[in-house]
Amino acid sequence: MMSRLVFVLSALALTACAEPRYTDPTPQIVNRSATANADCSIQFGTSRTCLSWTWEKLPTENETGSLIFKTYRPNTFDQTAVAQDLEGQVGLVLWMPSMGHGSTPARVQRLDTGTYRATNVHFVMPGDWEFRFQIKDGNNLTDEAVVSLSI
Amino acid sequence: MKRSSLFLFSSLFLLAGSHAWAAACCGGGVASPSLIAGDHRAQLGTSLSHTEILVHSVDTKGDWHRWRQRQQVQVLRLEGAQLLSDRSQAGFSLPVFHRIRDAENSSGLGDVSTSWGYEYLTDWDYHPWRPRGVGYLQVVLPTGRSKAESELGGLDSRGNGFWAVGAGTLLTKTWGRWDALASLDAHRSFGKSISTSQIQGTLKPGWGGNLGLGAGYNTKSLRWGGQITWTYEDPIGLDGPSSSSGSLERYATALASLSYMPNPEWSATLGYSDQTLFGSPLNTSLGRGLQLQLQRKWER
Repeated sequence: MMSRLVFVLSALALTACAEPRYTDPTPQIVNRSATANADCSIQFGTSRTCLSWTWEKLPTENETGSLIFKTYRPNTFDQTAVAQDLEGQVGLVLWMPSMGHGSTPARVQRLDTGTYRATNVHFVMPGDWEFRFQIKDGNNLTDEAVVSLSI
Repeated sequence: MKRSSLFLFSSLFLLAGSHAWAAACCGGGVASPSLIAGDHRAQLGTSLSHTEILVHSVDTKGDWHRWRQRQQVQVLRLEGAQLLSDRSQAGFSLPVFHRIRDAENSSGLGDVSTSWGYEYLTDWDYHPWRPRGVGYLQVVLPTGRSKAESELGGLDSRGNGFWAVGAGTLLTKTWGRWDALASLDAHRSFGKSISTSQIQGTLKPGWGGNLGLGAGYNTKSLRWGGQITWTYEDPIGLDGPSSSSGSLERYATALASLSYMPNPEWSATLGYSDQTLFGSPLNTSLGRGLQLQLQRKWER
């Protein structure tokens, strides 16, 4: 009797219908403003250079977006931001850590001291993503700052 | 009846196995082997599947995300198997993927798999309850690009992309007009080093497995069938300057099929698959699709 019950319960558990929990189909892209004060909440791992970023154009499902990011160090006198260039090839990778894949490569252009624009920013699917701001020497990654965001 | 059921039966497994064990998006999953499950000495089949992605992402919390973006996956597959002796067999499967995302598309070879099977449980005496059992070993070649290697957000990912070995079994039984099948496999994928413009390091996949249960009803030349396959894959970690631990992937694929066998040599199967109906999917994409398969068999 017990074995039959276990069998029936197991069969029911296996064939249980999926219970979809759909999220809002509108992309939840949180806008961030570049910080005037050097709060340094985002930092490169090795150089400890601070980073802030803000959307210039929000991406959609079908269109790429662009963002501006700034790199700086805190002024030793009053902790305000002092613009600072990154040394090496600067890049931005969009990575989906749970799925283990990225998106199409973004393009990064230096605009001024410590100010960069990343274009061709596109999320290929909704979910949890990372912005990986990277500095490379050839093919070698030398420094990185990671920002998590949900889409 | 028993004989025709067996022929149709083998068609079902081929169809279910070929298409059900792959996540809708971005490659993923390990292809199933081509197995002779009936009373014939060789088989050669081709199938075409078309899958529309309905849920673009199920995250690690189990929330389903849809995207206003059209994604489709088409797979053309050639597969065959040949008896090596009364009870042993060898097979292959060769898929070609065509993936469409809005205006972009990408095509190419997926993971090729080879297998060796052995019928460890025979049903020569038409036993009332003992099933026929075929066990198999499988080697998957990384001829498809893994999703981590893709520089197009998975558009050009056409498989698991790792060397993998697996072992499994297929149990089948017919009772008059009715039949049933159960399949179970476990596989181990092996890591590899990659270097793309986006990531560098060593990808570390792990174990995976599939459990399938199905049943069918046979008339003279038709078989109506249904099957559910549950799929699990270990997280794929990345070791390198920018590391990542990954997350496990799981989903269930339901398949309804209709097979037609005008004669013992030929059969055609039309299948409808849906990954949104059963299970508790995690970290995957879900699709719904149609498959058409043609198969030629050679009797013993």
